[in-house]
Amino acid sequence: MFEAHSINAEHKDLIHDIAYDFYGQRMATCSSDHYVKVWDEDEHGNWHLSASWKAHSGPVWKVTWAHPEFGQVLATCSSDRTAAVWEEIVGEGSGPGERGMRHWVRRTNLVDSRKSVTDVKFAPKTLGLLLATCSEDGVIRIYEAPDVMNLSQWTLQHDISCKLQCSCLSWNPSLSRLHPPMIAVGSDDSNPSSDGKVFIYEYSESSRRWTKTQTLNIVDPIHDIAFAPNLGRSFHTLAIASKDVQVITLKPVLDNVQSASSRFEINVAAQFSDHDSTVWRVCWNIMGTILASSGDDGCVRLWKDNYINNWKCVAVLKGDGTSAQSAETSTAATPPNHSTGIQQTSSTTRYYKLGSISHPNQVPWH
Amino acid sequence: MSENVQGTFVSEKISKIRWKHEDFEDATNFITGSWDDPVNKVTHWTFQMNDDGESYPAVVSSYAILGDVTEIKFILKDFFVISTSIGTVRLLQIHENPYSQFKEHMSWEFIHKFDNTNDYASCTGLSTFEQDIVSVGEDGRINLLTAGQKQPVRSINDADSCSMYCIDFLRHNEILTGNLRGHMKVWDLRNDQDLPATTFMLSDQSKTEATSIAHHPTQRHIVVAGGGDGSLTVWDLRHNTYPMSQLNAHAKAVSEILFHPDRPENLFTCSASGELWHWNNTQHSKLSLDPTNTHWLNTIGTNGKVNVTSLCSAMHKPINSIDIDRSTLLFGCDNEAIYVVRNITV
Amino acid sequence: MDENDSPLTIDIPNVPKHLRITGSWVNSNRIGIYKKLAKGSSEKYDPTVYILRPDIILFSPQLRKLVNESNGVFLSIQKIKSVSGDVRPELLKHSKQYRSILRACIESLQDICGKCLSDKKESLENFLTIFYQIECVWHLIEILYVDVVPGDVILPQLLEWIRFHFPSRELVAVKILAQKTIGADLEYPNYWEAVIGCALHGKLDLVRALLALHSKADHPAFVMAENVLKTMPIYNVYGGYSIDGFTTCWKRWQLELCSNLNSKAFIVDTNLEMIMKLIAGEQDMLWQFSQYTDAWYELLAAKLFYTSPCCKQPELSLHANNISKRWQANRPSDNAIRAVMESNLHRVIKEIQYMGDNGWFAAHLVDLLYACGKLKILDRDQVEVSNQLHESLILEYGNTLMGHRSLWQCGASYLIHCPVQGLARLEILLQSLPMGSEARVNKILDIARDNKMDHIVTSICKIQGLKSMKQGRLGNALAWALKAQDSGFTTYIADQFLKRYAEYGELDCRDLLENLGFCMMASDRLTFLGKYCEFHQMYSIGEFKEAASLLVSLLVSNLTPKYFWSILLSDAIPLLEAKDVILSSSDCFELLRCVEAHGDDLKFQNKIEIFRLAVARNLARALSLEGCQVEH
Repeated sequence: MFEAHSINAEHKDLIHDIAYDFYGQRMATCSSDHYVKVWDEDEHGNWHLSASWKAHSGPVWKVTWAHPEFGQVLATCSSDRTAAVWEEIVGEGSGPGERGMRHWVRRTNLVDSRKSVTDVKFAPKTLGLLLATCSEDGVIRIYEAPDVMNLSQWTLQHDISCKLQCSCLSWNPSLSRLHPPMIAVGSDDSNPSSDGKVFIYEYSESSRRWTKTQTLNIVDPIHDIAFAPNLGRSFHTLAIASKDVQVITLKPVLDNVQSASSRFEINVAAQFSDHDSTVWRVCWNIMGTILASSGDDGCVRLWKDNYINNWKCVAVLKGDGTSAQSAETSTAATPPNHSTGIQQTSSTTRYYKLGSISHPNQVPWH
Repeated sequence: MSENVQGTFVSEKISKIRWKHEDFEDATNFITGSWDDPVNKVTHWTFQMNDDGESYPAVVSSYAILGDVTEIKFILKDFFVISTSIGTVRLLQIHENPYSQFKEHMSWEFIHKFDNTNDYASCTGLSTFEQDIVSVGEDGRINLLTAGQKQPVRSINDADSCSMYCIDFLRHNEILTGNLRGHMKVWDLRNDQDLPATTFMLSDQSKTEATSIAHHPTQRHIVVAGGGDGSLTVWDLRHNTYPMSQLNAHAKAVSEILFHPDRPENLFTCSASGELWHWNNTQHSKLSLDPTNTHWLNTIGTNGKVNVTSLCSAMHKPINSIDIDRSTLLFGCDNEAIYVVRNITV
Repeated sequence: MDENDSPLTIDIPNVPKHLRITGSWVNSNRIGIYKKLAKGSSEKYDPTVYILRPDIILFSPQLRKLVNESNGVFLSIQKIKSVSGDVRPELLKHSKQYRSILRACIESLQDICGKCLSDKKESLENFLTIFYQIECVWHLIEILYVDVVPGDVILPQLLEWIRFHFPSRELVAVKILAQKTIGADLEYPNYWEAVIGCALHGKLDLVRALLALHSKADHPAFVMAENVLKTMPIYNVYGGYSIDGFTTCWKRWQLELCSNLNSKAFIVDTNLEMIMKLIAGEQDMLWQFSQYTDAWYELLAAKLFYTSPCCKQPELSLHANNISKRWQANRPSDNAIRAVMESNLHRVIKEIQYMGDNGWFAAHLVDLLYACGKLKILDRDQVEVSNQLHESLILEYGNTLMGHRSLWQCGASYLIHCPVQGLARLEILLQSLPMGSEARVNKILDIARDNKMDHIVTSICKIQGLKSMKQGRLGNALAWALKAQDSGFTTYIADQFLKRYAEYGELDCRDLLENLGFCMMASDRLTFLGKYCEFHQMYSIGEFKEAASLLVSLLVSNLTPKYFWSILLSDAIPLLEAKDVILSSSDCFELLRCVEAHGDDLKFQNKIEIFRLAVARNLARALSLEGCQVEH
């Protein structure tokens, strides 16, 4: 059995991205309507809108949370050619209703791109407060806030040209100090003649530069990529959304001599064309044990590997075809309104029980 | 686990457990409070006989609580006060007629909160003296309440810069608080100034939090406090604030310290490390009447005169709370079980 | 594990088919779904977000007892693993504990089920089925894998298992016997059913006692039956017979019974004759009686008892296969039991994962077998993967529990015992636990410390510090920064104190700052703050000498933040102007040096002249005083 909660996100146009904070208790949504909204979950699983603001002057493509060690911080990117960093602050004013009000302020506006900024991601926190963006102009930019307690000062540390228009990027979240910082970038360039559209960049401490150390030989347009947490493994795991779903493992070649050959031993751990159409998004759960892929076939598919690293689909999520509003409304108790200073627009949260498992040979999700 | 320990799994982590003491007979009922679930419970238990003639705890009634239950204290035979992690204190009664249930007599809502953000703050502890109740919280606030009055009698808003973790009524006008940094403060309630009468440290060496305080039932100036590092410190507050003795006891935070109410030469401590210890000084109990007034607790740590026994093999989860009635001890644990230890030699 | 497993399909209500949807994980097992219109779609956009999560039955209050109690047994087994010597008897004890926890769970479910309303009843009955089957499979595995069967002859244990799980007909028999009425067959319509049931379970003493109550008990056929049953040889390892010796003896007895059957000795009563045929080992009769059994393995036990009483484990597989095939048994528990009898553990583990218990059974059972040294799983290339399988099941189970608001401590204790990935996962999951009250945070920190995850401790403390800052509790933020041992963060907070002082002229949180002790050394800025606070303390109690020397030491310390120089210098003025000379000539030279170096702050401009004058006057007084002191 599954439980579903529905939240009316109140956006006036397409939602492009949703990001959850580290604890899964806050949700940020961004949309074509230029707005970003933040939702907070209470103890009883109900989500409440806690902030909504016009963040950009164009569709907002991506939204992402910084590690909570840096505070309550979001980054967004948009077709208006900018990326922005936002921080939630608590009003210290003494005016009526001002005190205790939380609101989001723009800490910086990153305006270096000449075209639409297609993705924005914070680096793993061990690297400090670093932000990477990529854009249609084919440039990856790495920004740094040298003083992690001061979010309004960002410096452009590196701009790396990758020649093709970029659609997505992912930091390798591995916390190990054994390998250098690593970013994977994908391009949705539709020209099939190029060599490959997934690039791996690594940072060299000695030369203080990011260099492209690997190109993965996938020639179809890349729509999304995501590194899985490393979990102490000897290889990195990268999921790629293209015309199909792929899970690639990259094992650093332990050879100090920088030979001309590959830096990594690359294996396709899994490749699935079950969506039978373009795959737009790939997303790992926080442990990197289940991959969710979203395709043009109207399905979200969940993939998991077993103890001997065999990948398989464990669940397919799809619309049931109804559109009637027949669902039972949530009856969960709401807590006392303890935050009188906060605007608490209650969302129209609904609660469902979804059908029970009928097929005897269904793989348990867990 | 030894023969005289009986466990009952209750499907919620127990934060507090308290006997409902009777005047002239063994207690048969007790109250538990739970924590860490979205909705927690205060539950009234009694003992029933099963088919094998064994006595086991059975639920009489329970009462839903938002937030974690952080303290339970009886103020009268069937009246008790509870505090919660959402900054409320409630006065409840075990009501028997027409059927057994809880009746709420008073509720002090939202009395611990962060003024800046208007969020609730956890009420971490409370202590009672007759009808008076005093509560402390993570907001560093002390609230003085009295059972019959809806408004707090007094609030000391900036009593502490840090979260306060424990409190004890020493006398009807004197309280002792302990905080996150191990600062112990004695407050004279007759004084209008919002400043402590004395401040002293739990430990000079390590800045560990003060997690629990207990005073000797008959010699209220003898105070024992437990630390986040598992240490126990004893003071005689008549003399000075320099500890009489200090020792490393448990492997982790001391969750509760309990003097046996009738036989104060017995002390019980439990810990987040899952340990439950019985400190006993029966053969030296006369020491407390010694003209030099050296209390037996003074001798713990310095010589081997005090027996320390483990009342059960170490639990694999924190033990949060203990209570004793005559020779029967109760304890509640994060493994979602309550335990009865019978026939303790005191 | 099999290639032909099909994935679970979850239909999301109110979402049109084939509408493009996107999934984004909330945490480890919740996923958010939102709609993305396909290109050219003209429908109005619906901005609804769905958050899906699996319903975990183990989180229901009735089953949390099982979760917690079995956690204790699991942890106890982990301790045994490190003990050398024969641990099998101990492990058997633990296996029995697991089963008794299951029995207790089943009993309490039955209790509640009897009392509750129909809507909840269905799910409770579902739980009952699941855990009843688990206990049944576990028991068999205990017999075949955990227990040491004397002489490897397994029939006695199998019979015991069957009798334990299918007690109904024996209960009827006992009821009939208790009445002691002759002619019980006439009195009780289920008389023969009871006799047959007992015969199938090999309860010959009950069969004999029941037959003795038959209305024709004195008839020679019944007397002969009694004799046959009485003399039936039963194998006993300790009976002094070798297996061969026993087999000869048993065959002889069987032959005699067959000849009696051939001579129609029992024809007087059809039921009696049928039972005697069963006892003689006639296959057809066995199947005729299958209507009196609830599961194929009941029949299997009967078959072994009457045709192959010395059956050893390796031979079991063949018998089990024959019977289960003909029975067409297909529930997960049937498949699991068959696989157990076939000694195919790989298949057992696969089957028990379909039992709907969220992995409780698989994790605990595999761990027990692993501890017994009985887990041997090979992959396609014949490489042993038992370690991986063992760990993956425990990881999954631990993960599932970590997903619960309250059971995370229990979940963590499973992850800790996964040597390869456990700690890496625990690291991620511990950090992602919602924090709540400080009491909860301290418990999360305890687990991180137990596992030497210092960076997690630092990170969590720092986040707590940030939270306190947001709440306007700078003192508490400092306390957490000190716990975090993050000097950068400590400096930042100390700066906040100093800046507030610079702006409002008031030092907050004096109770904390005056009692910092050696923690003051955590960062230079904090040292400065602590010492500056001490200066105020001394000044306020009139210890001007002490205050002055603290101030001078601060001035020369190189710890002063730029924005604070004007304050320090201003603080010196009243000390310079004091009635007694408290600053020495060398102090004055230091002050002059400082004002040269740092007196250019705009905020100090209106005081610089007064300052210089005060220093000059003090210097004059100090020099003359010091001169006098030298003379004497």
